[in-house]
Amino acid sequence: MKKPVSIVAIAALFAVGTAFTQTANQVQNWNVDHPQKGTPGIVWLTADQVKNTFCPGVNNVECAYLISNPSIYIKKP
Amino acid sequence: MKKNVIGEVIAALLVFLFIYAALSKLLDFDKFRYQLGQSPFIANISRFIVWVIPFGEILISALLISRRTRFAGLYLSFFLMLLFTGYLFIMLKYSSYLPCSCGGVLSNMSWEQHFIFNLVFTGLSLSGILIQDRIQTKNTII
Repeated sequence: MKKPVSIVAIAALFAVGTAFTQTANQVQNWNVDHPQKGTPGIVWLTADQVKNTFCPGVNNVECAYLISNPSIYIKKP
Repeated sequence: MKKNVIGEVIAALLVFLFIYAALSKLLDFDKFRYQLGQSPFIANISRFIVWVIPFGEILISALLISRRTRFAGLYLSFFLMLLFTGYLFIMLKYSSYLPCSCGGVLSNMSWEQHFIFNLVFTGLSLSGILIQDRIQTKNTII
């Protein structure tokens, strides 16, 4: 008979997901490489906000990077 | 059966708290290290504590996940929560300033709210120990 998955193990997985999601949604300093007319080069937003505001669409070209860690970047079409 | 479920829920809550807190600290490590270094009582040993706390929390979570080691995990949880609560009490009572070195959403709580939150989890880990003790005694008798 298969052993049911313990709720304690499920809680551990939820905790990992929550911690990472929250970090990804932190407000940070981003440098938008190709700012649209009238938009600043450096913005203080979450990754989701940068993607939706400045870099919407499929991910082909680098659009913005995190100032504290430039290896983290967001792409745009 | 009912006690088993309550024991599982308590262990699950503690595991969620410890893993979430540990990862929040490790993912924002520089900030955590800086804030701990600001603490008036533990600044001297902050270099050591900055590693011990998150990895200790992960270790306790691992002990809580397995049923075989859960009892030890609950004792360590109780000890750690007691330590955190005691530290908060001393900070609230005697510190001239209150730097926060908590991770994730916990850093949005006031020190008083954090103290009550810790008291609740200290109580939960104590209840977990008592429940687990009864379960183990019952299993030994059977």
